[in-house]
Formats: sequence, C-alpha cells, structure tokens
Amino acid sequence: MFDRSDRIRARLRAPLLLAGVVALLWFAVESLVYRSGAYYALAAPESNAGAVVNALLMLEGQYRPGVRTVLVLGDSRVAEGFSGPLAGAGSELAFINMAVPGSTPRTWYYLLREIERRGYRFEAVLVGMLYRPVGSLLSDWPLAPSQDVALIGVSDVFAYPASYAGPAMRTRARQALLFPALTLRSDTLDLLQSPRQRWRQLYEFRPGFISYVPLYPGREQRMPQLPFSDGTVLDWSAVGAAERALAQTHLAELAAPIDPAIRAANARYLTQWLGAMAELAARNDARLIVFPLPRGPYQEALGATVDPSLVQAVASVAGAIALPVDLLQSLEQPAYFFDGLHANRDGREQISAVVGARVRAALDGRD
Amino acid sequence: MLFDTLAYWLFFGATLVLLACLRDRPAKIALVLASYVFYSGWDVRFCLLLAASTAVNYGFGLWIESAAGAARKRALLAAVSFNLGLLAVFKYYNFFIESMASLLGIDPAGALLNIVLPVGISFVTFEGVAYATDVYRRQLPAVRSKTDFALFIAFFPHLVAGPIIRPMDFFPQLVTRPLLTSEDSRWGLREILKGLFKKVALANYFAPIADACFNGGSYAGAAVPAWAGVLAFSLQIYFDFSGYTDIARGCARLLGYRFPANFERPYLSANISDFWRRWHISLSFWLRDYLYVPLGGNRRGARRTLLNLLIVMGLGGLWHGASWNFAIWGLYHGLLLIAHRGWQRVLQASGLQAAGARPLWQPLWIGCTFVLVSLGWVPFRAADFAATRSMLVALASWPQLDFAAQHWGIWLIPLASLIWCWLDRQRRWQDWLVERASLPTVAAIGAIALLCLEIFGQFETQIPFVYFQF
Repeated sequence: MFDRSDRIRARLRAPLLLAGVVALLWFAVESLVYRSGAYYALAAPESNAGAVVNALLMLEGQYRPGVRTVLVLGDSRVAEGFSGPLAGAGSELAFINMAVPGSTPRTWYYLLREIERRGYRFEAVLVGMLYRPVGSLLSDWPLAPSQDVALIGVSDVFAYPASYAGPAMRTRARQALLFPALTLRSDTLDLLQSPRQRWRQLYEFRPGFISYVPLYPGREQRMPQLPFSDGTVLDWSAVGAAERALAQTHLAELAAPIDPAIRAANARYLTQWLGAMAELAARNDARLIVFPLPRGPYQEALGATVDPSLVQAVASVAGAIALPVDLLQSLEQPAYFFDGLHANRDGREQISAVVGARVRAALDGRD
Repeated sequence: MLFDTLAYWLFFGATLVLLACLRDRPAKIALVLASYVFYSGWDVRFCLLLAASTAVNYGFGLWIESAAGAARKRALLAAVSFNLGLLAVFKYYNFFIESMASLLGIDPAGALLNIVLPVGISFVTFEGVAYATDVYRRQLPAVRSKTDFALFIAFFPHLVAGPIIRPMDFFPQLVTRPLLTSEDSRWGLREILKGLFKKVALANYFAPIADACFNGGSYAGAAVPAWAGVLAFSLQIYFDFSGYTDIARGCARLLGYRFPANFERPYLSANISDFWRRWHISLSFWLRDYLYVPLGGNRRGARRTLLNLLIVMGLGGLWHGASWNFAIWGLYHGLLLIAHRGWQRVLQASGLQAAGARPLWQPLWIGCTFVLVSLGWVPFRAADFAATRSMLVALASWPQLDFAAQHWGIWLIPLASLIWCWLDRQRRWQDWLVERASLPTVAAIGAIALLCLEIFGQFETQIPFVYFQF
C-alpha cells in the first residue's frame, strides 16, 4: 500500500520545501513588522494595543532611576481615580500610574513582565481592586487579546491561550500570538487609509497627552443624589434626563443577577494573576499592594456588602499586601463619582491621598 | 468545509501527505475517500446520493457502450433522464409546484417535498450527462475502473462548485501518476494564494455592500446607492467565483491533476459573446457541447439559431437556481447574444467592422459590455421581480457619489485590478513567478501575499461562496 521512501520523498520535496520556505519567510516578515515591536510605535493611540503603548511611554517619561517608585496598575477606574503626583505629594516616593482602560489582571501581569524586561525597578506594584462582583467572565475579557498582542511573544504560545476559558477566546488568543497582523488588522488598515491622520495622532497629539496624564485633575461632574428606600429610588424629579439615564443604567447593572459560577471563576482568575504579579514583583524585591476601589456612587445608600469571594481571592495571594477592604468605603457616594464606575475629581483627590499615605506607611514598615 | 477555513487547509495538507505516501491505486482510493469525507462536511446523507449517482452513471456508461443503434440512443436518454430527474427532484420540484399552484391559484402546501438541496448537485449531474454523452458519441470509451469513475465524479476540489470537468480531459490524467515538480508546486501555490485573496479580501469586502443594497439594509450606518450595490455585486460574484476556481485549480494541481481555466478576465470582454468565452468557461462549453449542439446549434438556419441561443441561455440561467429571476437573467443574456449577432451584421454590411475593432474603441466596448453584464446581475441577485424592478428604477435615477468618497474600495479595487490586468496583460509576471523566479523570490512574494491576506482579509464573518448554492 505504501510507496517506496525515495518516491515519497520525491513527491513531497517540492511542495513541502516551498510551503516551508514561504511559512518561514511569512513568520520572519510578521516578526520584523509586528513581533519586533516596530509596528506598535505606529499603533493608533486610542486603540487597545495603542493604550498599552501609551502606558509604556508614560512610564518611560516619568521614571527616574534612583527615585523610590511605586508602579500603579489597573483599569480605567484607576486611571480616573488615582493621581500619582497627589499620592506621592510631600514624600520622596513617586507613583507612576500606568492604568490601561478596559484591562484586567492578566494584561497587568504581561505589562509588568514587559516593564521588568525593560529593566525598570520599583519599590512596589500597586493594584486597584473592585470588590464588587461583575457579571462577565474576566478570563474571557474580549478586549484582552488586542491589548496583550503588544506584550506577548512566541514563548507564550501554550500558556497564553490556555489562560482563556472559552474556545472562541482561545482561538483569538492563539491568533494574537501566531498572527499578530490579523489581530491588528483594522489598526493597520486605518494607518494605510489615513497615514497623515495617524502621523498627527502619534507625533502631535500623543506627546501632549502623555505629558498631560500626570497633571490630569479628574472630571468635575457628579452623580445625582438619590433618595433610596429599601434599594428603590423614591423620587427622580430632581434629576435631569441624562443623569437619570446614567444612574438607572448603573442601578440596573447592580440589580442584575450574577451566575455563582462566574463569581467563582473570577475569584480564581484574580488569585491566579495577582499571584503571578506578586511573584514577578518579588523577584525584584518589590511588593504587590492591592487597594480597594470605591465600588460605586450608591453602595453606601444601598447598604451593599463587599463580595467575600473576591476578598478571599486577594487575601490568598502569597506575598501581597491587601489594604483594608473598607479603606475607601466612605467615598462610595455620588459626590465622588462622575458615573457608575469612575471617581470624579474629588474622589480622585481623596483616593490618591488616602491610598498614597497607606502605601507609604506600608513600605516604611509602619503598617 | 469551505476553502477559506483552517479546517479545509488542515484536511488538504493531510490529504496531500497521505496521497504522496501511497502507491498509485491506494492513492486513488484514498482520494475518493477523502472526497467523500470532504462532502460529508455538509451532510453525511449527501454522500449516499453521491455514491448512488456515481454507481448509476457508471452503469449507464457501460450500457451505452455495449448498445448499438436505437438501443444506444435509449440508453443515453435514460442516463440523461436520470441525471436531470435527480436535479428536477432535488432542485426544481418545489419550484415548479409552487409556480404551477401560483398560476392556477391553488395552495401548493400538500404537494411540496420537504427536502434539502444537496450541495453541488448541479455540478455532479452535469458531469454525469457529459460522461454519458461522450460515451454515446464514442469520444470516450466507458470507464471500467470504478475507482477512476468515482474519482471523476467526487474529486473534492471541483465537487461543489466546479469547474465542470470534461471527461475527456480528466480520465487521461488518471492513466499515469505524474511526479509533482517544483513548477507544479509554485503554480498551485500561486493559484491558491490568488484565489484566497480574491475571496477573503476582495469578494468579502464587496459582499456586505451588495447585501445591504439588495436586502434594503445599511452599510457602515448608511444606505447603499443602487449603482454601488450593483457594482459591488458584479465584483463580488467575479472575485468570489473566480477565487474559488483558482483555489480549486491550485489544490488539484498540487494533488497531481489539472483543471481547465474557468475565467479569463471576463470583465475586460469587448462584447457579450466574448464575455461568455471568458466567464464560467466550463459551463459555457458544457452548454455548447451538450445542449446548443444537440439542439441544432447554428446548422438549422438563422431563426432556429437565435431560438437555440435563447433556449440555451434561458436553461443555463435556470440551472443557477430554482427561481424565475435566474431564467430572466439567462434570457437577458440570450437576447444580448442575439443583439450582438445583429450588431455584427450591421457593422459588416456597413463596412465598419474593421474600424470598430480598432484599439481606440476597445475601452468603449469593454465599458458597454461591463455595464450590460452588470445590469444583468440585478435579476440574478434580487430576491424577486419586485426587488428587480425597484433596483432598476433606482439605477435610473441620478447616482449619489458620496458613497464612493467614503468607501474608497468601491472604486479603488476595480481600478487597481484594471491596472494590474494592464501591467500583466500577457500574464508574464505570473508565468515568471512559476517558471523562472528563484525560490527565495517566490517565497518572499508568497509571504507578502499571506501578510496582505491577513491585513486586507475580511475575517469577521464567514461569507459562503456564492456558487455553493447552485
């Protein structure tokens, strides 16, 4: 049934040689353009990959060798709600906020790994944590592959896709690793369609944005004060239409039931990735510190308790310092939020001052 | 398994390696089995139909060959009836019942069959008819080898959407098994990459524009003007079908078989007859050899010739699908062919034929032919008569050009294609790539093509090949 080996070789030689060389060169071209990091300098600053690049550029601009520095990681809640200069005011400790909007702890881990690879060293890594359950599976966060594409490499070929739960997300993760051009397709197309606009975004607007971020004061808007009784709003009459819509959306999100399986999976996810970050930080004699983010503008009025599974998840991370869960509970009021998730200017100032002081105390061994 | 999926390429790679490892006969058997595996990807039940059709057609071949005189003709008639009957039951039965019921004003519900249209049945039955006719005409001896015959019918690269392989072209290729040369590999790879780019990057770009226009939806949040929708469908169907054919030919070549060309830059045709010599060539040949010629062709006077053209094109249109819109599309092309004949006569009589054939006039003729062909796509794509009518009415209004300003692809892709066709008008670059370029050059071009495919490909939604439904 099987043919002689010399014939088999003769039949397969030409197509396999050609396919092999094409595949090799394809990999080389993709590596040259994307895997080398060359492309990321051109990624749109507003894109997911671009946001990661922005964070790295911010670090590059703010890092001072020899100065005791705390690296701050998180999502948009940390970007809006934490100010490095305010946290470090009056002390020799510098805080660099590298929060990436729409990111989760896995991205923070890969970001931290990249930062470590580039030789930056920190006293501590500070992470903002929301002790409120969320309805979506964090491990399958849809934005993650397009953010992480700038941070992962071929060495992650098995571990990275395996960190996703669903097959569709695993495929996307594999795609981001093996075919970065495919993941950055729309960004590349935008670049090709309007190179001038991209040039302006990158070289005119971004430098200003990066230097402005540490000076950003936060937003002025406040969520409306609402009269609650047993978790129900008694009177909407004093609230404008736009504010009402914002508040109603937020309250609907809070009221939505959350699958216990998702809660449990998210707690495991936090333990896994915060643990990995703590380990990575420890390798450079840095501590991982987790601070609680204010959970929302109406938590106090609603009498909502913290999610014990998340508290347990953070507490179980070896080598991490978890700041008290109720540290910022007094800020869970509309006066400190501009929407259901993000702190406003007042909130930002309060959070930065309180957390800054606690971190300094923790690092100075006073806590 | 669609050609633009990873599953297909894994299947193809495994088949390629398996066949290379086997001796001649086991390799053929393995290829037949692989083809059935490929076909079962749609519905395992289809394989039973395919096997039954293959067995019956094999028997008909032997019967036709052994018979003589009137019996031979009867055998051919039986073979053709069987194949067309199969097509009639699976593809047209419900359509004709509904049409009759609509004509008589009765409810067809009780008479309708609840059957699924097997993928590629139109192509399979045409292969069967072609084989029986060729044996009847003694152009081909009946095939003795069951494996060879099964391979002819089921060979997976052409099974579901052609090209329609002529028995006389295919069976001689089964006699000896050629060794795959470097040129074959390059040719195959070139066609596969070309086809994938046409399908995934170009056809799939135009598909949502055409869909939005013909289905009354929006594209990127805006309505699509009629001219853009029709142009988009003209380009979608070309890039889709010719892309499919390129991939099919490339795969076949890598497996050691050669398929004929199915497209020869049809939108650069200077007249409608020329268009049909360049568009879906294998169908045009089939219709000519197995329908037009048996009807008498042009041997029975001018009127009968024109009638034959209308019959052939009308039936050719209906072959595409069970809908009167397809018949109208076919008849429209029949009328265009008749009009072209008349025009040729006028030019001849007036002595202007040579002047009209001058290169100076070619862009005008090509433009006119493209517009006429594109108008023909309206009934082809529209859901029914009403949609056809409203689209034609919309086309008659002043064109809105804002769409072209926002979506460059609608004009940039045809323009770039035109420039490419002009630059490589003799296909010397393509031939150079296969015959003379060094391996690193070929590989570099292949790698860049793959990178372009990644960047320009439309991977968000899986858009099936247009001709799969036929």
